[in-house]
Amino acid sequence: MHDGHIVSESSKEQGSYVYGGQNLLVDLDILGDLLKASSCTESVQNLSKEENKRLEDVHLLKVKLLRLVHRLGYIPENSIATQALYRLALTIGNHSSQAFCLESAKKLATQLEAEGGSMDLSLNILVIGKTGVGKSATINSVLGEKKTMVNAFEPTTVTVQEVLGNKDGVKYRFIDTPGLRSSGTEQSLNQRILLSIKKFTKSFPPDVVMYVDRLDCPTSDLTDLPLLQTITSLLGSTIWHNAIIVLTHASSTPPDGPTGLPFSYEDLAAQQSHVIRQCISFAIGDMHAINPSLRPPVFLIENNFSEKNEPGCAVLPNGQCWRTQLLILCYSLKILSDTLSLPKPQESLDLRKIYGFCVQSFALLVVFSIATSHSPKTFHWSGWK
Amino acid sequence: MASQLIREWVGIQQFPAATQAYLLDLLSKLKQQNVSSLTILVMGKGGVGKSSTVNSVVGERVVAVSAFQSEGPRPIMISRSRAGFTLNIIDTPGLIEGGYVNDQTLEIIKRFLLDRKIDVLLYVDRLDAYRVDNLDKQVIKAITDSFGKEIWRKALIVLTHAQLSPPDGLEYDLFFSKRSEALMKIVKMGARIKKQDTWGSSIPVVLVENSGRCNKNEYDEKILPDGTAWIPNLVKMITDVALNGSKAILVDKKLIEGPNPNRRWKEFIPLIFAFQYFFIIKPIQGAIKSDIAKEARPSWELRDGGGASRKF
Repeated sequence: MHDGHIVSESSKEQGSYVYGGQNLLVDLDILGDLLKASSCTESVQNLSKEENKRLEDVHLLKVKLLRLVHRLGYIPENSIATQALYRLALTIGNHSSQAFCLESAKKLATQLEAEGGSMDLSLNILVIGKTGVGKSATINSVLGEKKTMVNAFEPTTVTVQEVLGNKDGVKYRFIDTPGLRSSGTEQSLNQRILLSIKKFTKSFPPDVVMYVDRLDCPTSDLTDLPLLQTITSLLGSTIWHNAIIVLTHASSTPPDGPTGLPFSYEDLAAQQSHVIRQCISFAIGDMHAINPSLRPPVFLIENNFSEKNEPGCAVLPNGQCWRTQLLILCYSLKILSDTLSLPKPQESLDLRKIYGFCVQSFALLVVFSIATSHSPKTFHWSGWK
Repeated sequence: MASQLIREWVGIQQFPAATQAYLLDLLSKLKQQNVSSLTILVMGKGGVGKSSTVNSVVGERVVAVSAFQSEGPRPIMISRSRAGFTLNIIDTPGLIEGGYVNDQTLEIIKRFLLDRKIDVLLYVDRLDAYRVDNLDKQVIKAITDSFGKEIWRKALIVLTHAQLSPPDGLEYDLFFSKRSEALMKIVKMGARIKKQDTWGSSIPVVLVENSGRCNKNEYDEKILPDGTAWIPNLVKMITDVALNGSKAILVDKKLIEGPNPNRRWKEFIPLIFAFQYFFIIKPIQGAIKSDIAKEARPSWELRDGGGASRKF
């Protein structure tokens, strides 16, 4: 507990938002273990054809990510990319042979970049959130020009619309949505908006869902719960699997805390993301503390730029340019969800598994034979009491 | 409803000398008008800066400020006296919880205010909120329903977080005027102030900046982006509203509990009864009688009465 104004979980959450270069989608020590595991092993295995194909697909995705990172001018050890590669390595498990390990991916990536081939990257991003938080402004900032109308006083986006743009060699397709209302009595309006979003996304399934909110409006516990419940019930709780929480107005000065001293920037971001994540997990129905495997990453941005800075590179307290970081994060999420959709290989018939299956079926057979040998009247099913 | 200990207003000494002088001047003006105490009620949504504003005006940290935790469930009254003048400020919890107006909080506030007179209402909101929505309207409606429409004659709209750089390159003054316009519109809608009530357009809007990083002028007073020292300005506007001639709102039992449905329109009962008798019963009776008279007498009656031609 810090000064009594932060819940105790925030100390775990401290680093769990993407902010400049320091981010943690996972804890650092697990990352270490993982990177060790993904190093090249000389395991000799007879891999089936499907498994090989799968490994190859995952490998190509890794190459693509590395090429993007290189193209944007980051070093391959950029933390977001490392996290994504780590997750990719997790999905293929421990049988990584020489051909498919990280080093060869890096080599292939630099080779392809040197050849100068073009990469067709496209991203479908759905942007949702309350009204007036900065959804259209974020889209304008990422694309570098004013593609959609923004207004500081009235809602301007009134229908679900598509915003296309090209930036940094990536074809963006943003789905800009009308703002949702947080009042409990207006949830029917929210439902209408969400149904039209659902219809729209049938034709353009989003790779990434951005839930936008403000960093500088601290919300107490469950203010936004009706809104998040409506979203989860209409769009399904699977949207939170590839979601990013985007907090705008990130360059505003933090408010004063109860001691009269201002919140520190990290505490404010941690607290605000904790509140939103808690609402999300309640909306999904996960009544325990936030499910660690379902914790959307949090990204801080600033849309209000002065003329000096290029749009999208507004001043964050760490001085870094957030647009490219966001691109890497989105693309990593896309790659990860692509991996999940790859056809899973046939589970190799492990002898142990077969044995276990046999034992189970034998036990079942025994139970059934006992059951049928008795007459129904004398046999008590204790399970039915 | 605990009776608060009236303390000496030591907080006034925290202010820089220029502010102190101005405030004492205002207090003496009030005393001249025979006003020796002022009760200010501070209401609004949660998280807008009500408690911070109260702390700023009193000059000491009397109310706990909570950015993330929900506020305390009960209203607090701070009483301070100076030079024979007593200032009572009542800080209330935010009225919105979980997307709805919290009726329980509203009840607690009403009971707290029983038998008190409200001289000024401060309706607090943020300058840097970009939307005015149904939640605001519900809060305003709840205040109006609880205390009556007349409370808006004694109201001030206070906008916190005044030290902001407006978005989209807008000018500060333009941003401020558009935001106050949007808020005024929703206040008039929620309180059902009609166009004939001209006082509805003259509810003052005051800017306030409670953070410790507020800019200061050469006298060390906290100032707004346009240079005005906001604490003296706020207290002056409060004084103006308190002396504007409208009656202070007395929160009595009748106001809290609302009209008794059994007694409603009891006076109309004899009138409606008379109406029914004269306009409905009598004409129907008359119509029936005339129907009977006009009707041709049936043959059996004529026969028995000797009117029909008898043929034996």
